Amino acid sequence: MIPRLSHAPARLLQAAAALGTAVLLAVAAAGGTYALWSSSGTVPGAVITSGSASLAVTAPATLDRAELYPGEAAAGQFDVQNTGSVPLELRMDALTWSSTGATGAQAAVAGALTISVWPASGQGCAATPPTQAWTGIVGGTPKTLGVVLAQEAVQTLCLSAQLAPEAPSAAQGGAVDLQLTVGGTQQ
Amino acid sequence: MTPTRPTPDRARLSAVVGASVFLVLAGTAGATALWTAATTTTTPAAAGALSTELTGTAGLSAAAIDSEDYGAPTRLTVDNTSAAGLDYTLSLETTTGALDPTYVELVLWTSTDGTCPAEVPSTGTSAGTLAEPPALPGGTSSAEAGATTVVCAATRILPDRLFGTAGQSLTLVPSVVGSLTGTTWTTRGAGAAVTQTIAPAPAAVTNLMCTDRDLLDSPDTGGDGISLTWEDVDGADGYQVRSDTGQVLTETTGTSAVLAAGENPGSSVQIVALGPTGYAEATSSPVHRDPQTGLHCDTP
Repeated sequence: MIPRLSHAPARLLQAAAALGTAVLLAVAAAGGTYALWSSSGTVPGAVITSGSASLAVTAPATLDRAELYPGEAAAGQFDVQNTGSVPLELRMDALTWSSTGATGAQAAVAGALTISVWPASGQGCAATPPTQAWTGIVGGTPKTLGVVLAQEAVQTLCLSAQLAPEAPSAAQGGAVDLQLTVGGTQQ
Repeated sequence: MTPTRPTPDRARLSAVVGASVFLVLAGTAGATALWTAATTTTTPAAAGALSTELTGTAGLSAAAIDSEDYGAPTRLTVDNTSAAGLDYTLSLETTTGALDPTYVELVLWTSTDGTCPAEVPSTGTSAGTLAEPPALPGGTSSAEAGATTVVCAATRILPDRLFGTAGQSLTLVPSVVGSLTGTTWTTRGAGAAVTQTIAPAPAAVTNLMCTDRDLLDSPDTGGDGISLTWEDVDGADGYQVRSDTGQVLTETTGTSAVLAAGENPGSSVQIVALGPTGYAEATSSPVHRDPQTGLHCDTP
């Protein structure tokens, strides 16, 4: 009669098999080898240059109306070029203005402006932004513009600025310089 | 054949193997880094400003108002110097003066040819007072961007408000307030100050002469009395002879009066010069009544 192994030794064997498999997989994945002989050599003159990610505004933004009245909007556009070596997905990062020393009219204007930015299409840039445009006020939330810019490529971005219909009378004559920051993320 | 359920031991073994494989693979996975870049552009944005002008208001100033007639119509010009159309209202801000602004009527009407006639038309005007000015007439209550409108205006003292206001005046600053429809934006264009001045009362009577009348000399007068004469006063429409208590004994437009012996002016008579805006301070002449001989002038 052949004696049967008890359950405990069987579980021990199973665990050992599992551990062995894991070690095997780890070694295989790490790709290491265990040669006893080894050698090394130096290749002279090898230069490695890293890539870069950078954007530049090549045509600054201008609006087609010098002055806005409540409820009115102005349109404009500006060009952004990928001056780096990797493709970049464009996003609207920030809309700011310098409030230091600002007058009441300037503050009122800045608070009553709504800005939209979107990639230009063949239709040009209208004062009414499409639904997928980034639309926000000063301090608005960043959002992707849904376009990837290849190396050295130039993208025209449309811009619209609307003065709110309820803009206060104190905003009359106020003028501000808006800073639009466009960001890019490597793709 | 029904599938067999794995034993608990096998389940634990599978979990151990799975976890081991996951950790091994996760540990050897390559780390990812995404490069980012940013650029900034600046664009100017500006709000427009409303502006308007009101000219011609100085022509409404009137010196020496001595009648209830309208003054000469004045041509007021409203210029919308904005780049947007405006709706207009007229505003009058009183600055100084004792004259009640509700006593002065202001009428406005639209000029059809850019000029204002010499007389106030009988129809087509809107009227108010300097306390509550009328609305700007149709066609001038709004103006397109850059447009100019002409409004004719005239003032007068309201009926029955002139007498008693002698020498009073009122100065106010008229302005037009332009508003941008559907917004809170307004602008104000102030005109030159307007002064309305009421003519002074006539000067006091001078050279009052009192003469006793003799019954024998004037048998038709009905008895003794006194005769009064005085110099004409410039601007006087008439004269009153009053007793020392203020009672009006007689009125005349001439420069003389007779009081009969039976009248009782008290101890003096006063001649008051009346003008459209008021009366002068009285001047007096002493008299007395003798119970026997009637009214006599006192010797100065």
